[in-house]
Amino acid sequence: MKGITEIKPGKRYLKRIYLSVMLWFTGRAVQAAARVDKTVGDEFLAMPEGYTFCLGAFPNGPYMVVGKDETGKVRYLGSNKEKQPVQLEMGLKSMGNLFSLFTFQESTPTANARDRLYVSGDLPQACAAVRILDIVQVYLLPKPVAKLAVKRYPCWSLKRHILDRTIILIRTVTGF
Amino acid sequence: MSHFSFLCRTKTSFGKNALEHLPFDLYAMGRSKPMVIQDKSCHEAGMTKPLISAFKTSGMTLGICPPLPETDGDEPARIIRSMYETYMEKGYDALIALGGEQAADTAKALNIAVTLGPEALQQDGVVAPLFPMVYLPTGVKTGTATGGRAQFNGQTFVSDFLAPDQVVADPSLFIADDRETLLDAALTCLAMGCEVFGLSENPPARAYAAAIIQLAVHPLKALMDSGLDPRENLKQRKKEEKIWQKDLVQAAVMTGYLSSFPLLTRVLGLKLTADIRFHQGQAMVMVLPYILESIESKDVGSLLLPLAGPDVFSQVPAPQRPDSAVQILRSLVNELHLLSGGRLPRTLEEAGWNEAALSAIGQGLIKSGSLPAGTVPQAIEALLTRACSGRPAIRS
Amino acid sequence: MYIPDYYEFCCRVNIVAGHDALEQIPDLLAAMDSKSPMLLTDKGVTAAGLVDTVISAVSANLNIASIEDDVPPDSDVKVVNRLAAVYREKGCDAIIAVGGGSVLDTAKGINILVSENGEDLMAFTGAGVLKRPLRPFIAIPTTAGTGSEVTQAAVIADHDANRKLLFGSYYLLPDAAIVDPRMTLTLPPHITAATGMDAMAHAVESTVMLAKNPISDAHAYEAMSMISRHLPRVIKNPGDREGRLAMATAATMAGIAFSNATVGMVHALGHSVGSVCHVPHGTCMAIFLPYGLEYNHHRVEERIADLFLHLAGPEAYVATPKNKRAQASIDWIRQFNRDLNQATGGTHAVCLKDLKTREGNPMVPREKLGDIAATALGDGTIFYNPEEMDYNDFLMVAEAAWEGVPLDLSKIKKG
Repeated sequence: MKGITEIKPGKRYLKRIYLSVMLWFTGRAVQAAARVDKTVGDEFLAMPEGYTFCLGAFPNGPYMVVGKDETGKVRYLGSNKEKQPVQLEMGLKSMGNLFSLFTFQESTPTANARDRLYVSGDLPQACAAVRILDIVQVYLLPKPVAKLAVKRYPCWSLKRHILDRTIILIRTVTGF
Repeated sequence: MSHFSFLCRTKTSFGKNALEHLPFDLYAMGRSKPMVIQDKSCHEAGMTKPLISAFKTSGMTLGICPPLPETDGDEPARIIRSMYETYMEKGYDALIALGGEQAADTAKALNIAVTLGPEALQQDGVVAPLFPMVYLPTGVKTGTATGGRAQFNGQTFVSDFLAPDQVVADPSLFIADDRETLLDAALTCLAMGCEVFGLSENPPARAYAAAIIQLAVHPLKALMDSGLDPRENLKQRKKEEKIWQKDLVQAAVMTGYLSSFPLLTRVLGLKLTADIRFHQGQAMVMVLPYILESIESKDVGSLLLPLAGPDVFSQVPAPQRPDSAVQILRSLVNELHLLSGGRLPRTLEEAGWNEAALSAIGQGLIKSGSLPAGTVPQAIEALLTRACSGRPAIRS
Repeated sequence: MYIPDYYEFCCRVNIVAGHDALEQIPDLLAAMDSKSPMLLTDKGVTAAGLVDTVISAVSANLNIASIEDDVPPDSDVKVVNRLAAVYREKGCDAIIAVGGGSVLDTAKGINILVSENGEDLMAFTGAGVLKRPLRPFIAIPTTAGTGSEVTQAAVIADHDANRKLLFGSYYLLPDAAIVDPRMTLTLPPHITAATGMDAMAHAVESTVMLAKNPISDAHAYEAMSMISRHLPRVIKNPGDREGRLAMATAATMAGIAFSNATVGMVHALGHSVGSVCHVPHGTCMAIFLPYGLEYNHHRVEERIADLFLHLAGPEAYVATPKNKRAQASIDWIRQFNRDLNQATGGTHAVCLKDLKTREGNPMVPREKLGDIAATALGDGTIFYNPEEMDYNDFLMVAEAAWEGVPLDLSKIKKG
């Protein structure tokens, strides 16, 4: 047929860079929170040994991969989900949707309610992963922004809000 | 309730960033190379741009066909032949129709050809599932695009298998509809929704109809309050029209799902506007009260709920609800007459019809057998006669 | 009318309802080129004579290739694998599933394996794994009901690994759902009540959840209205065919609603109690439903108020001030439960502590409430609940439901 135009739509470079940075921060913050925050630590403790989950955008990322190593320590494992077996994949159906999430245009519960999310893996672990990510968002974000991101902004002690947050932010940046 | 059946094959995706889901949804259907059929208005408005943008990073390939021409003759058949050859040669595996009925009908016809073979286009029925097809509306004039019907090259194809697998209504694809078009769409949706809700005794269909009525009533009221032909504050008006359009596209899409229902409003609406030019939606809403009065149904009173809301529904005693619902529709037609400065008719007589011509329509419908099943033939002539002069039925 | 910024809705099941719906099955299968279906059911359904009813309705025009009635109460991977092999051996080309949730889920699992030529169901978990239509599948629910005949999910247990596998795809939807009152005519009153409240919970929860949309709401309100009118009637008069058809239709409509708008904490807790203490699902729904509304009241008061007209009718609506309608909805459901309790001679429980085994032992010991709360944390339905829930929240609700007392609204955390 004359005039049919075949197009392979390209990439979204700027969005990809932004999301890669945000996911990097988030992954490192999860690692830090697992060591500092008891609730996050307990959630990971309940997960099986070697359990790994990722969060990203269909079909080609970017991703954040987090898992427990053989010693039970929680590590941020980078952005490549193909490098190791992943037991739980949580994804947004497009990079555009992931961008809406990480620019706080849509909270996680809203994105979920709007069918933007998909989950491959055990649901109990997915629930745990979402609880972990909610706590991490509260640590990372200023209160007005975190309130947009989570369903219920928690009432924490001053120690948790100030001291633990400071330690987690430092560990996120430094990687310890 | 005696017996009923209901099937809607189509998944509805509506709202902000709906297009972003489309690559994932195609992947879930095992498809990765859709062919896009667009009508002329889409091409002129650059509507493929948001579509292409939604497919970025998906890894999928889109084949964008040139816009469909608005000509008749053997052009449609030639175009389908060409599309068919390209589809098969280049290995496309799904169809996306972007625009109105023309794009949808062309996609449906092509889908018959690529799934069942071109010879299937010479047959009447479609008896097997077709390849995935997605419809992207760009305005309220969706007609039967979302239903199991296609008009192509002088032929009418009717089958549940023709309904799109998915309708993705993303406001970023909507081309502005003018007030007259919005009004016509609202009236069409209202009429069909009310007939299904009040008379079908089919609970799933009634559920869709309830949603249609509510989606149509609010923008309709707002449009009427704002004026049919406003000259001031045009920027504000355009903004309002965009908001109304969103609700009405939803209503129009869902009305298409009910297009397999044999509806007297639609049958009469088509007949009444074939020779005398006034809008089909107007004609449908004009005859609707007479239809509701003519046909025995215990659900006519419940129509008051989606039409007027829970407060009005609850305050009206049950025996008065049918008349209240009918009166709301009559008042609507009368108010449109006032707002249009007398231009929009209240009765079929004002529209240009006379009793003799209407009687001929009634007789023609009875003879042709195209009346919905269960319609009492004598009732048709009687209701058309009353609709001519605007005379309500007398309750015994 | 609430219109979210974005929503999805899909129910591509052909709903065939009526007093002669079963007789439509041969034509439905013929239209799908099917000639030798497997009839899948369980022993309870067979013992109730329902399989005989189905067979006598279709046998003149259809040859059933195989009747398999050993589906357990809890769908199991091994059973699915075995029955898939039977399907292949007997040369079947369709499945007719007659039963409740477990039978329908088992049928969905079998259909995956036989359509995809698979041996291992585990390979088909996960999103987007199924990419094409499966073989013909007709669902005949025998309760009113679970709504499984119109859901795109199946839960199948892997008892060896002590886990539940979740399958989700539009391709799991049956091609047709047969809604025939003959399938529920013999349901005893207490099961009618419990399954009716299951349907009510689906309808009610779907209208207050985060994923509600105009089409799911329309289905839910219609369902609620039918259940509130017909459930007491069919308990009083089990042979009321019109009432049974209305209830069966309502259950399917409620299934469509919740399948598209999901459910929330009522189901999270209900699933947990079912899993920990083996209480029937419908019974859990009836008990937890008012608590689900109370807990979420501060978030979605208007949505709860919108329920009142459809539950209680226009006279009660007019008599109740607008600002009291949300509480009135909750009170109505509690009273409805009490009325059902009376109508069933006390067998329809209104609180967890009243649930007894046949031997008279408590089905839900108070000591188990902690386990119930912990299990509920792993239920995906809490994602859709308007208010957040942690372990302590679940425990608080479970304790109130155990006692049968309303929630202390001042103790609900609001962030």
